[in-house]
Amino acid sequence: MRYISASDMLFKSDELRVTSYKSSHNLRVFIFSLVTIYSLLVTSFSHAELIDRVVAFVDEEAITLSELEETYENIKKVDASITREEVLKTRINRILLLREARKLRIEAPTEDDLLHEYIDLKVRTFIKLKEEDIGDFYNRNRAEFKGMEFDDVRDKIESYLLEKEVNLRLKRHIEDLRSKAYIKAQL
Amino acid sequence: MLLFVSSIEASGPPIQKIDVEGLYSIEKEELLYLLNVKAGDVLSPLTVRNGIKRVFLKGIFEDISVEVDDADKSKVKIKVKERDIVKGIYISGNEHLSKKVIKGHFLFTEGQVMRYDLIEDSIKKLRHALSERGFHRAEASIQVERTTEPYRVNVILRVNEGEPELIKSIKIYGPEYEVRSLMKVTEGDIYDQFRLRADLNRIKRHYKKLGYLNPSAGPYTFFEGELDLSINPGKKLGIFFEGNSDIDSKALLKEMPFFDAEDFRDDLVEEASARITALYHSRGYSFAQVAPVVATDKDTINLHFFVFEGERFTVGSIRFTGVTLPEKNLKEIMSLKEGGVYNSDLIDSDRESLREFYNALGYLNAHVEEFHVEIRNSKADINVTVSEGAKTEIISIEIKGAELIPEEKIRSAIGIKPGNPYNEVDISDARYRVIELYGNYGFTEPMVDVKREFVDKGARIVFDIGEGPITFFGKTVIRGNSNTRREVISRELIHRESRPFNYSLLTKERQRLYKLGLFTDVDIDALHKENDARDILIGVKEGKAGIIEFGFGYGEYERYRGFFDISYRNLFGMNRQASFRIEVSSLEQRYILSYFEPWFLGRPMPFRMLLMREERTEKSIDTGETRYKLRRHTASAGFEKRLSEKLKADIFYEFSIVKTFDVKPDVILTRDDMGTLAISAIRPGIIYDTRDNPFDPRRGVLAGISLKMSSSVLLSETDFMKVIFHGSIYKEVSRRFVLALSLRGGIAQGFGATRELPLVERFFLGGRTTVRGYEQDTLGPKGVDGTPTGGNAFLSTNLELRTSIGKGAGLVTFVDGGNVWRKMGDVDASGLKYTAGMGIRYNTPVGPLRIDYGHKLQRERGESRGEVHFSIGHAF
Repeated sequence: MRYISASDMLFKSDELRVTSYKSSHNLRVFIFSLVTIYSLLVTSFSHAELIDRVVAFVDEEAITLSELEETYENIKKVDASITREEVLKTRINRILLLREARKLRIEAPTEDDLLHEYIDLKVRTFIKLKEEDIGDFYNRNRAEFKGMEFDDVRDKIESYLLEKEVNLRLKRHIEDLRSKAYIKAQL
Repeated sequence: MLLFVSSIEASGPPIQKIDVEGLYSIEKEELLYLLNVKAGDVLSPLTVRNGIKRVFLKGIFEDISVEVDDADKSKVKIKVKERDIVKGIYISGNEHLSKKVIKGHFLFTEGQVMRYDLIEDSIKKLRHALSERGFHRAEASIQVERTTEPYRVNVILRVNEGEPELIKSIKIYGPEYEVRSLMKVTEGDIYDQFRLRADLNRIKRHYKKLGYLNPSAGPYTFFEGELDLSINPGKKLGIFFEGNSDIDSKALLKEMPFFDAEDFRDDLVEEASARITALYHSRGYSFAQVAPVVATDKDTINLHFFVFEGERFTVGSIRFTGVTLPEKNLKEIMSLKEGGVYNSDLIDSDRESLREFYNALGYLNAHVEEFHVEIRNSKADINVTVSEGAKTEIISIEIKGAELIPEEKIRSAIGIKPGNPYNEVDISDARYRVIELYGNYGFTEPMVDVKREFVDKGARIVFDIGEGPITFFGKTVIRGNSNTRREVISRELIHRESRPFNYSLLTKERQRLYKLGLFTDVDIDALHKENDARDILIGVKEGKAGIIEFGFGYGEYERYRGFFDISYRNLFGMNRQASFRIEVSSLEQRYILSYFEPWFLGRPMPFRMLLMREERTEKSIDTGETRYKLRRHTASAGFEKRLSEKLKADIFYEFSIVKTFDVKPDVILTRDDMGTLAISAIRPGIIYDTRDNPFDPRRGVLAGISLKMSSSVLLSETDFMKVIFHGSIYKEVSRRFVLALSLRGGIAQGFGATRELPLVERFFLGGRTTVRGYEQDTLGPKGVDGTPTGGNAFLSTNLELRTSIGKGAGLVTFVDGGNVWRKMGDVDASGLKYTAGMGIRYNTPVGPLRIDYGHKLQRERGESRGEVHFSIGHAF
């Protein structure tokens, strides 16, 4: 008998104990345990080539090692400092957002387009920038604009503030989605 | 040591051996099918990746890895780790709250995946709920205990409720006496906010029922045992009608929007007036007027509607000017009817209907002028003037771009031919049908563009088709079936892997799966396209397989009766059904053990088996005299075969030991009518059924014929052959009326040593399902003392007009005819006995409750005038 609390959530297969084999059910359990123990022993001494495995999942959606490696290699070409953990986190976020987009029956030719459509619909459309906020930003950062007039930089400030707000809200939205999903990374 | 090779190209030798470890909840075959890995194939990393993702959709896995042996790459090892499932939840330490209440607030449920990441959250939420229940010092801890079954855990929840907070006093701000009488929470109770909120809702409902517009119950505060409650009923709304006579105040009150809106505003008063006016218009009071008058004070609002009903009008005549189409057809599509109620509100919609009708017939420029209405002598004469304009016909239909589907099939789907009137609705429907046709052949993204060219009075139509790529069915992932075997679901599926994708098949499959009766939810999704194929994900939610039913009733013949039925419909997870049923009444006891196998030996051929013990007393209702008693033990088994959606054949073998005793002497026709008799028979039959609803049919046909043959060859003690046929037709005359006609008959003949059929096998008529003017089984030949003896032939017919009178109730008028003859040669259609009558119906999920009275039309001396019958279900 083994108990697991919140601070101790890992099991070890070799701690499984079988006590009674009277019924066929118990026999099945016994055979299962024997096979498990046997395979553990055998695999400890043999060499194997891994074809693929699950490195993370979001509810019923799996991310495999080969997928991760493929994405990692592609991103590394443009951002050499990126880590596998960061790629995996991005991949999980992407799954969460795509899943929501599909729930809304949004259609787009590619997954990237689908994501953009979803973010536009769910996040961007709800952002309303006030003119005074754009003015405030200009006044607070006047030195940075090196004497340029407000009218000349207004659109750029608006675009910057909009993207900043989109990122902020998107981050909150992802956190909300993460809290509702069963996510596990096992790199 | 484990090496990971990052390549998606297939390489290496063909697979010779596949080992799977850690798998428990599904069969190895299902895992390999979903992974798409099998012996003889060359292992492709891309296939493995897609396979792992597909297997994961089952929702039961935590980890999957696929490896090959470094020394021998033909050996594949698949390691899986399943998610733990909560097998049981055990609660201890609770003193005040029941385990059921605590379970209701607990995040984890039995049968669900054990979410270790939510343990802390679940404790937090539980403590919050317990605090709201009045135990703000409650503590809880969770331990997860592995069971001996792999991947199954028990959750041990220990609760320490602590001392509860008690309500020492309740202070009510508002109508205190009335509120206290409505509250269940009292001083001395635990401060349970769930109970308190239920009380507040009850108080709110109470005041709403009394006519208060927007009562508020709450907010409430609780401090050191003192509960303070604020209750404000708000203003009471009184609504009064004056001047209404044809429509009573109760009906007018239903039109009031104030209570739903919980508000009283000018626009709502206007809406209420408009609704009352519209109601009067619909009853023919076209000039009805309504004047609202509002009087308010501190606590009440009084709203008076002064109604001037005016005169009631009916439609006198409807005449047309400028039309070439038959006036009868134009009148049929109008809501206003000659002789019917004149409702001025329908004029605009009728005008629009006429315009659409003309457009549908190719009169694209038809113009229907404002109706000219002449009112006189309570009649409204309607004159309709139409400028029809020129009729446009379709000159030709051309199809372009169709390469993979024959043109004749596309033309058949279009359904429009040259010479047909041109209209946009038909063309739009035709376009949709072409898209649907392509969808049935796996073309999920066809582009169908319809071009029109108008020439003189005609239109040339071109369907320009871009077929797009073909899509095929991929693999099928089934999830949610924790108690039901996968094959029970997969054998109902009609789509096949690698065949063209077709959405309509998925719709049919969903219906077939629901029909099994095992699932409360069935979701079928087509997943994203990968390499021209779309995998199918079927998610089911299992319902409870065990069912207990019982009921009590009253019948005019058996008097009090009842039944108890216990059944299980998913034995061994294979949808096999077993049931035990007891039926008891003052005249009979029946014990039935039955078994049903929907797919016998893996074929769609249902097998049924039944064991029954029956004891029955046949009595005369009028005299209470016993005609005979019988005790029967029956075993029967047989197969059914669905030949088509409407046609079903069956064959059963039946063995009965029947003991007949206390038989009235004049009933006895043969020595087999008394004592114990073994009857061994085979019974083939065929049934044709197109009814829309077997419990309460409104249209369709039910017909069938069955043969029962009993012979000494089958070790029977009596030899006979019986043929019974029946046919019923149901026709919906209108929304309220259904006409039902039935014809039934049967003939029987003894052979070998049997001259007369034994009593239990002879035909009897009369009673609630046959000829309703007669007592149960009393029609036909009688013995010297007037007791029915039954016979070897019968014929009966029924005609019913079933009328719905709303709210699930109905009236039935019927004529029944029938008779029983001793021998086949005696059958004489002129000897049928007729009865007529009426009945009342009240619909229930298992058919209507009914009371019928049948009156004899050919009453003989000494016979009653008629009979009353109580029952469930239609007579036929």
